[in-house]
Parts: sequence; C-alpha cells; structure tokens
Amino acid sequence: MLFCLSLGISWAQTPTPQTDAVPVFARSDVRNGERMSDWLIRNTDSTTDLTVIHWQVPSERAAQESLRSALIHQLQSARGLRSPARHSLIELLRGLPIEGRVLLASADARWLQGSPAQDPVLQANQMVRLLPRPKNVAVLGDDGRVCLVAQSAGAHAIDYVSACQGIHSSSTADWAWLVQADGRVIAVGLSPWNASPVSQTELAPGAWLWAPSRAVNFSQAFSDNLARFLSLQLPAETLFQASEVKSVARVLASPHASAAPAISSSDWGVAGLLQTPSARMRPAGAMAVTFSGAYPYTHGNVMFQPFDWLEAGFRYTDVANRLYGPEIAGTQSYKDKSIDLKVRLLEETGTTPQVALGIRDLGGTGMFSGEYLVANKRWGTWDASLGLGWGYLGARGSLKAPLGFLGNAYTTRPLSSNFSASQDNYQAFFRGDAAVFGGVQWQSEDGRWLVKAELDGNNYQHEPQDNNLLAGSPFNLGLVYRHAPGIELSLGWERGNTAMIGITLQTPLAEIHTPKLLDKALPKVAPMALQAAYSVPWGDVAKDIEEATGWKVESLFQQGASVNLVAQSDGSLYPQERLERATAVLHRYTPATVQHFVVELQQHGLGLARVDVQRSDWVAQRTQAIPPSLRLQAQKVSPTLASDLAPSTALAGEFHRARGANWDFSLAPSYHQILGGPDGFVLYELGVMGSAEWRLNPSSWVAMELKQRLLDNYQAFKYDAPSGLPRVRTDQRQYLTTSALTMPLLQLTHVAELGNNHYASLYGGMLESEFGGVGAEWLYRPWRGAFAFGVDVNRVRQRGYSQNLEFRDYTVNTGHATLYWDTGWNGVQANLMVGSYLAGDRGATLNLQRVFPNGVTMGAWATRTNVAKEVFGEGTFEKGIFVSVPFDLMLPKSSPGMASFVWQPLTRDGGARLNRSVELYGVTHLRDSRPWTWTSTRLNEREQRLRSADDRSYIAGGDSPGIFADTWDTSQSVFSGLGQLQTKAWLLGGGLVMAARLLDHPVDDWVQARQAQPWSQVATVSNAVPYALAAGAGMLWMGMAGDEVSTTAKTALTAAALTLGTNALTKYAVGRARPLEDRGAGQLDGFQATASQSSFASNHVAIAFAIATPFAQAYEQPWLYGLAASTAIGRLQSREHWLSDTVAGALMGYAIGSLAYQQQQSHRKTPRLTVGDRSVTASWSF
Amino acid sequence: MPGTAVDPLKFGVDPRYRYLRVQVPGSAPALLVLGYVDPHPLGPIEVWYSASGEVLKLQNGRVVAAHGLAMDWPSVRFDSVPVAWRDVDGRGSTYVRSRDEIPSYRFGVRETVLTLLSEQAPILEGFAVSLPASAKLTRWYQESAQGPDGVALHSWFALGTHRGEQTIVFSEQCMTHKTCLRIQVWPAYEGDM
Repeated sequence: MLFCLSLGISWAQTPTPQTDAVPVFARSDVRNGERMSDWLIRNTDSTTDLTVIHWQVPSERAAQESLRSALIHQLQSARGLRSPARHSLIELLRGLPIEGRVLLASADARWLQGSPAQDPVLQANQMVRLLPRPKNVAVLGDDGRVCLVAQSAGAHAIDYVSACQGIHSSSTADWAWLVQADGRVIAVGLSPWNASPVSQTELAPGAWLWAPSRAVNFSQAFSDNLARFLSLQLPAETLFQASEVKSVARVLASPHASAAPAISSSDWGVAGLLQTPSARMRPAGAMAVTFSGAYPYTHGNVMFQPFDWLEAGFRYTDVANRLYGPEIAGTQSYKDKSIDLKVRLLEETGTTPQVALGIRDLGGTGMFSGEYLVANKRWGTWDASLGLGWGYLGARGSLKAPLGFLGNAYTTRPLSSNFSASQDNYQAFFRGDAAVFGGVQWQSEDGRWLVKAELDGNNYQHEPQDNNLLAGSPFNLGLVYRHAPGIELSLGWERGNTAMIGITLQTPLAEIHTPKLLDKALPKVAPMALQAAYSVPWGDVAKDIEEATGWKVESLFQQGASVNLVAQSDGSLYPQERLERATAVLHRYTPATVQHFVVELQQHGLGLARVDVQRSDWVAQRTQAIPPSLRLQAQKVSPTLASDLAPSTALAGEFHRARGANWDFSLAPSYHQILGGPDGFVLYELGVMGSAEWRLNPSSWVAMELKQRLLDNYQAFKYDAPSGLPRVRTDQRQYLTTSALTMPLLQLTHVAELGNNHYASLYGGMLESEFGGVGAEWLYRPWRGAFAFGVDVNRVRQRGYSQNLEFRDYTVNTGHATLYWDTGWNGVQANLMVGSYLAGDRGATLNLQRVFPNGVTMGAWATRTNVAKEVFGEGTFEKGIFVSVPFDLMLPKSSPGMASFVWQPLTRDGGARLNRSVELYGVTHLRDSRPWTWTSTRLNEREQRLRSADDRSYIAGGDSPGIFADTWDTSQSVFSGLGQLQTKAWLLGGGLVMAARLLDHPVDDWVQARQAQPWSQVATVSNAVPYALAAGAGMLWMGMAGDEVSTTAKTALTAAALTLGTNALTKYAVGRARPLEDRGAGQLDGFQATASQSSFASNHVAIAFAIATPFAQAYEQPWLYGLAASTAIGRLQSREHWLSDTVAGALMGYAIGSLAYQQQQSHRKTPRLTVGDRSVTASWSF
Repeated sequence: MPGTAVDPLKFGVDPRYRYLRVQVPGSAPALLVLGYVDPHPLGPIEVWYSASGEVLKLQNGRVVAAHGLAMDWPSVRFDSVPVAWRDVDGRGSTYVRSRDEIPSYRFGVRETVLTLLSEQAPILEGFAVSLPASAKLTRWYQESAQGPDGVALHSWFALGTHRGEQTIVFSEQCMTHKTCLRIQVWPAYEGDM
C-alpha cells in the first residue's frame, strides 16, 4: 500500500443523529397493490440516480427494534470496552431512527419487471424514499464516533479507516464490516494476516463501515448484528449535521492480497509444509487425498475436516526397501497404516498466531508416531510456522525432554518397537526429547504457485525398522503448482539428497452440488391459478409429480378446497426440494378454488410426515418480494395421523394406485476393494449388482441382491488373519473368492407403526453377505425429538462361503439397544449402541457423525467389547471412519441414494455387528426436522446477490448457547466455587478422609473374609448403582418427566462429567495402589502412565454422589445420598478401593453436585436475556 | 450470460421482435430480446432481456447499464456528451463518463473515453459470427476508456444499416480488462427472418 498524499481536512463527531433535515429526493405515497417497478417508472426517469433507495415497511419496525435492544444488551456486557465508549455507542444506537427498511435486489425498474419474484407489491402504508447520491462513507469506531470520509473510486476499507486515524481507535482494527448503501454487508480483513480477495471490495457512497479496534473483544455475532442494523439506516451524512469531512489518501496500490491464503498439503496429507505440519486448517467439510513419494517412503493420505478446528484422517505408507516378511507376504514391500489427528487450539488474531496440537500415527504399532504443537502467522503472501515435535517429528532431539518436569516418565520415550500390534502407543505421547521445526510458505499473487522451505524436526537417524537414512541437510525445499483449487502438484528436495513428488486432490464436500440439467424443467410459477372450472386430469398430474419427484403417488384427489396427495418417498435426503417440485406441478394443474395442497409422505407404508401447503402464500413468495414481517408460513409439517388422507369412498376421476404386489428392479455396477492388505496394496473386484424389490403390500416386501463378479485380482488373495474368536469377519477371503455369483441379500421385511411414536419391524432371510436368520426391531422416535431409542434382536447363522442358501455351523444371538441423539450442535449426531456382537462379545459402540447442510456426512465409530486386547489382535479395538455423499450432489439428475466410503484399518472378529439392510431410524428419517432443511442446490454468488427482501432484522446466531456452552458455564462456576470453599470445609473434608485412612486396612481385612456369596451378589448390585443413576438421569434429561426434571437431570449429568474429569486428574496425581495389588494403602506412584487407573478416589462413588446430589437437593430426597453411598459396598467388597477412596469420592461428588445445582439455581434467579436466532427472550424465575 | 447455455443460432426468431446475440468470448452465446425503449435526453435507451432475466441497456450502441450479470453496471453517466457516430473522424473525439460497478462496489469510476474512426476492421480473437451482409456495414470505430487506475478498456463498434436504419450492428465492449461482451444485431441476415 502506497500513499502519496494525505488530504485530511477535518472530521465530524456526531453522537446525536439529526433526522429532521434528511434531504429527500423522492418520497412518495404508494398506490396499494402496485409493483415497485411501476412506482419507480412513475417517479423516476432514465437520469435518476438510484444509489440510495429505501423501501420502508411499518411492520418491520418491531423486529428492528428488537435487534437494537439485543445490540444494546450485548454492548452492556461486552468485555474490554471502556465505559465512555460503551455509553457513546449505546447513545448512538438509541438515536438512530428505525423506519422499517427492507432491502431490494435492485432498484432498476426494468430489471425488476423481468424478475417479478424480486419485485415487491407495495401496500398503501409503505413508503419508498429516493435520496440524492451521497458523497461520503461513514466509519464507525468502537468509541461510538462517526468519521465521515469522502467516497473515492479505488479506495478500500483500509483506506477509509486510515483516513480516520487519530479520530478513533479503529486504526488498529483487524476486521471491518462494509455496509453498502444498498444494504448488503460483507466482512473484510484489514491486515496482512487476514486479507483476502474480498478485501478488494470498495465502498459505495452512503456506505457505513464498522471497524472495531482489536483491543475490544466484540463477538462476531455482535458485529454481524450491528452491521445488519446499520444496513437499515440512511447514509450517515443525511443523519448527522456533518461539518467536516476527511478524505482518503490517494491509493496507488491494492490491499494486501488478491488471492485467498493457500492451505496446502504436506507429504503426510495434513495441512502443512513438506515433512512438517502447520496449524492451518482446511474449511469444514473438506476432504483431501494426497499421494507423495520421497524414497523409501510413499504415502497415500486421506484427510477429512469435519469441523473447522479438527483435521483427521488415515494413511498408508509403503516402505520400498523393507518387506512385509516371509510369513505373511514375502515379496511385497512393507505397508503401514496410521491415523492422524490435529486440533486447532487458538485462532489467529492480529497479535497472536494460530496454534494447533496434533498426533501423527495414532494407535497401532506407531512406527511413525509423533506429536506436535505448532503455531502459524501470516503476513500477506507469506505464512510462517514454528513447532515443537516429539517422536518421529522430533527425532533430531535438539530439546531435552521439554515435559520432563511432569515426571520421570516424560524424560524418555519408549521405542515404538516395544509396542506390539495389540497395544496402544499412547504411553509414548509427548515423552522424551523433542525438536523445533518450522518454515515458511510463500504464494504468488494469483495463488497458483507456492514455495515452501522448512527445517525438519527429524534427522532420520532413528527410523523404524532400522531404516536409517543419510540426511545431507536439515532443510527441505518445495514447489507447489495449484492447477485449480482442487489440484496440487508438488515437487520437493528433502534431506538434502532426495527428490519428492506429490499430488493432492481436494474438494469441499460440504459445498459440492451439481445443477440438475437432466431433470425435466418445472412449470414456471404463475401468479394466478387457472380460473376456469375444468376436469383435472389427475392421472397426468400424478405422472408429472412422479417424474418431478421420484415419489410413487398412491392417491391424488380433491376434497373441497384441498388437493390431497399420498406418496411413497424415494428416500431422498431432500424432501423439501421434492415437495417444492410437487407443489409446482399441483399449482400448474389445479384451479383457483384449490387453496391447500396436503401431502402425506410415506416410506414403506409408514406415514411419516404431513405437509399442508397454503397455496396463496406459496405462490406469493415465488412471484413477489415480500417483507419478512408479512411473509406467512407457506407450509406446515406435522406428523401423519393414521388414515389421515384416505377418502371415505373413491370418486370417479381421482387417482388411486392399484393395490397388489409390484416389482422394482435395477442393475448397477459394483465395486469392492480391500486396501493395504499383505497380499497387495489394493485387492479389488468389479462386477454388476442386480437389486429387486417385490412389494407384497406397502409395508411388506422382499428384497434381493445378486452380484456377478466380472473382474478382480483375487488370485493374489491368500492371507487369512489369525483370530482367537469365532471367525465372524476374518473369513472374508472365502466369502469374496469362493463364488463369482453371489446373493448378498434375500430378505423379507415387514414394518409397522405401533402408534404414539413407536415403530417395529420383523425380518428374516439372508440378512447380509455372511449371516442369515431372523430379527426384530423396535424404535421409539418422538416427532422431531432430539432423542430416539431402539432395540434390535437377531438370531443369526453364518452363511456358506458361496453366499447361496447354505449355512455353516456357527449360530449366535446378537442385538443392541441404541440411543440416537441429535445434539443440535453443528449437525452432530451421536449414536450409542450397547449389546451383544457377532462373536458373542458384549460391549458398546459410539458413532459420532456430522451432517452438513448439503447432506454430506462425515463420521467415525469405535467399539469396545469385553474381548481382551491380546485376543482381539492388531488394532486393539474395532474402529473406522466413514463419509457419505448423496448422489443428488454428484449427478445432473435427481437421484436418491448415497455413495458411502468406509475405512476400517483392519477386519477383526471382535466388536463386529450385523449389517442390517433396513434400520427403522433410517426408514423414519422424515420425522426428523433436519432433512427438511438440507439442500442439494446452492445459489451462486450472482444469484445470492440478486435476492431481495432479505431479513435484516433477525439476530445473527453465535451468542446463543450451544450444547456445551451451559456445560462450560457450569464448569467455570463449579471450579470457581471449589476455589472459594472456606478453609474449614477443606479441613473437614480432609479430616474425614484421613480418619477413613486409619480404617483402610481393617476394612480391607474385613472384606477379604467376605468374598463369597451373598456378599459378592450384594457387591454386584452395589457396583451397578452409578450406572443405574446415570441411565435414569439420561432418560429424565430426554424430557420423560417434564422440563423441570430434565433441567435437574442435565445438571446432574454435567456434575458427573465434571467429577469424572476432576477425579481423572486426582488419580493421575496421587497414583495410589488398589487393595487388589496387595501393595498397601500407602503406596503412591503419581504422574505415571498407569496412575490414571489408580485407586484414589473412587469414580463409582464420586459419580453416584454427583448425580444424586442435585436431585436430593432439588426435591429434598435425602435417601438418595444413601443410595449413592451404597456404591461403596461394592467397591470395597471387590477390593477395587480402600475405604478412604470411597470417602474422598463421596465428598468430591457431593461438592461438585452441590455447586452445579447452585449454579443452576443462580441461573434461574437472575433475569436472563436470551438472544436466539430469531428472537430475544427475557426470563426471570423466582 | 450465465444461465443460458444454448446456442441461439439453433432457434428460430419471431419477426415481431428484435434480437441481439450477446457472447462473452469463451462462453455460450445468449439471445436477448428488446423489451423497452426508454426516452433519454442523449438518445433512446434500448432495454434488452435474456431468457434468465438479465438486462442490458444500450444507448447509441454503448452499454449504459447491465443488471443480473456476474458483474453489473448499475449506472453510466456522461459528464460530457459523446459525439454522434457520424461526426467522429480519424482525429477522434473524447467524452467523459462516470460509472458504477457491482459486486466490486467501484462507484464513481470516472473515465475519459477516446473515440476514433478506424480505417480497418479489427482482428477479434475467435470471432467467427458473420456480420449482417444486408446491414451494409459502413464504418468501424475504436474506443479507449482511460480510468483512474491507469488501465484502459478498449471497445470496437461497427456502424451499419439494419432494418433500414443507421445503427451499431456489432460491438465488442469491455466491462473489465478481462470481461468483454460481443454484441450483434440478430439475425445476421435479414433473409433469416
């Protein structure tokens, strides 16, 4: 940026708006019912300047007043804001007029005439104001002062902010919110670290610029809201008596960057330089596949970005100069699998870097395991990183055990070769010597070329498999060419003697969409419906609806002023888009006497959702721009009632699908692969899959799949993994290779609605490729509830390897109880399954997944069962990663179904589940509210710009608490409360524990004499108390006993979680031996790896008290303390704990439970103003 | 023009309407139809519509507004009046215009435009559409708009006779140094009507 002249003249501080003297070029009463375009043609001509036009709608004022109130409330609690500035800003906001402005897509009458959906129909009480072209831009600082600067073509936000230097502190602003005169808002970075192409956006005359200094900690939500409020305002020069105006310095160069900052893959797939990672993250929803080779290593990496703060993925590494080993696959080079994880700890600001913590090669053998803490700071086209690495990333060892102060365990790092395949390598994390790494990345102005230089933390003298490499230099150099945003080609020179070549393919999965060019065009929505009474060709209408939606129309008929449509959904993830298409067809065909379209959507005969479309509102929203306050809800989605739309008697001309059995058949290519096995890096098969469905009635059907394998490389498939369990999955080679023609599925299914949100299914046959049998499922799923609960039970037998109708000998009962939780936070869903698995093992599976607004899902699961690690074998437990992409996002024609990618590092027998083809939670997905918001289409930048009547009055989200916000509040309050406990409370607690300590050995002696029944049975029951309390609290949290009890249950569960965390630290610090170890009650060995499993204090007792205490105090039920205390019996009898452990646990749980309950009460007794997405709610409980 | 991926050459035209063929080099052409002719002191403004609602306004063949495109010109104002095409000679003449751009929000871009009569037709890269033979093409003009950032925008205009009137029958007008519109009366041959 180069300034050659500063023309600062003066400025205007204008705390009080002067709204009386607003010069109005045109301010005309409107004719009721006329279009805005007509008003413009009447009141303007081709020479009129239309830079500032305000369409004012009185009914908008209430919502805009709420926006102002929310802003003032947020200001009153803003941190870091000095009192005078706070007062000044509040006074400014209070003084600004609220006139109900609604934004227009364009003020050009001729364009509006060609785009009627953006052309408002005016009402008599509305007003349109045209102002002369303004001359200035107003810069609002966080001190509440407004600085007017003459608008200048070529000047950018930073130029206007600089022009006001000395007026207010905005010259230290990092971000600015540009509020254009037409009301559009954009946030731009002002500094070298955050500039991007949008920083090039200029300001129209009459624009506002909100540029808070970095010293004041305004939330983004506040700034968004303030910008929204300013977008409703007239230009500042018309509001204030501006006597002095500044001028920008003459700009001769553009702002800092013209290309977006490049996030590039390292050799290891994670965002970074070459060998070293950086703290940078790709946008949420991104997926990147990287192949890189630098002898002797070739990495194939797949990385996902489920959140903008979390990067995770997996990798296969080929070691060219080492073999797998003669006993497995002697001629194949060695392959290693690994998982990476990187978490952003801090976001970059003007003064601080972005910081991330990561782990490479998590779990398994940990051949390349390393941990790191890394920071990044950007200056325009330069991005520098500096990190500290352990393990493989810090093998240079230039820093001696930086975490050695935590204990002896951190002074040396166990060798990875000491870990067997069935062990976790976490015991080595952050241990031993470390090394500094880092470097810089430079990008060209157009972002196509990147140059990288780094200091490697590894000196390659401690390589796994004794594969030490000659390293001529600790520095690596790289060059990246970005052919397109999704393709990177990399070249490098590493270790001073080795060339590297790499390619990265990346895609923002959460943003992908494909225009539906092959779909039949929909009829254009006409403002007026057919007036003439005529005979509607219902059969043709049903056919058109089926073509447009993929639904199967069951019935279609008119009943009074309604047209009723019953249809079987095609299972698409986008019911709202399908409904839109169906409504367009219905509107096209039906006469004006029809006022409602009532659609019942079914799946497999289960009535799932009923949508009532108010036709006139639906049409109005598509044929004119409507102010938000006048926009009525055009549709109402509700649960289907039984036989809701069934006509009493079918009339002539109505459409009703013929009853009886019918068939569906499809043929599709099939592909299956096994990656990274010892018999070949890729074992694949190509073939065709025929799928048939024979519907006996809407809710009973037979499904069959036949697969013909056509091409494969299974001749190399020799390896059968060893197993100490029934071979329920490790016989996959036989299942894949025995027969080319297989029948993976032959299943009869019946589903039923039991009423009151209960559903059931019965099924039998060849349920999957390896198991057949019978099963049943029950699901309780409240309409649009956050929780659902289901149970499935199955009696299955292992199928023959040919996958025909034969069975083998192994038979097992398997099934699970599943809790489904839609967390409501960032589209995250958590499913917890507890039950019995195919190998007869018992345990639980946790499945976490995020569904993005376009329907793409990223997730991971892990299963722990009662199979010992040594028996389970390599991998120690079942786990995997999956991604699902709806076909609708990839194909030019609307298509149901999903493309799923599942990665399991290993196929083992422990924790294996039956792959059920029909799960009631999926069948009933229309009862969830989320699918109605998912969209497969996306407006491009131009289309977004050309939308009018955007709602500027609602309050931007961000300050509303997420699911963990309350937990965080509670944590802060509880730990603050713990710190404020009076000394005598600590002394009393300590005294009780010490007193109990005196009884530790006598009590243990006593229980040793009582190890048989009935004491052992009592202990079993006693040990289950905390689980029962947790399960009960969980059910109460779901709302089974009302909102009041649900709140207490949430407090109890939060207290339990806090107790668990607190006790984990306590255990780690104390490291007391358990009675079972017979090392005595005084044996302490804290800060060791094994200390986290130690005795002091008892988790069971602590959690029981933490859960029981809020209920005991809220409902005055002291017996709950007794129930919690009974947990100690089991802990003592089973010799897991000393008496003093249980006393300490009880005190800890009681204290945290009490403080959490107090915090809950204080929340209720304080007046609270909750800022929601579209509301502000004040509440005060007594 | 975005959203219009069909070649209008393949479609017949309605002789009751007037059409323009508009193409951004490298993109599919679009067929625009004349919607309105609005009066203006400097000459009538023709309002042309594409099938997807984009609007192009031409005055004496020059773009004076564009709405609904990837980059719009909401307004073009002439601070000094352009000389009539017939009066432009080899020595050239200048006028000054101010225009606004969206979404860059470059408002008040003031440019001095030099109009020259050209002895030769321009060589336009990839230009393969026939000019209307019956239009009796008479003259070529070149315009060069010099803005505050020092970057010149170049345009070409072909003056000819179409439907019995002297008019601009073809032009290539650059809205940025990267984005130019090729605008041609359509159909090229009146015999195609």
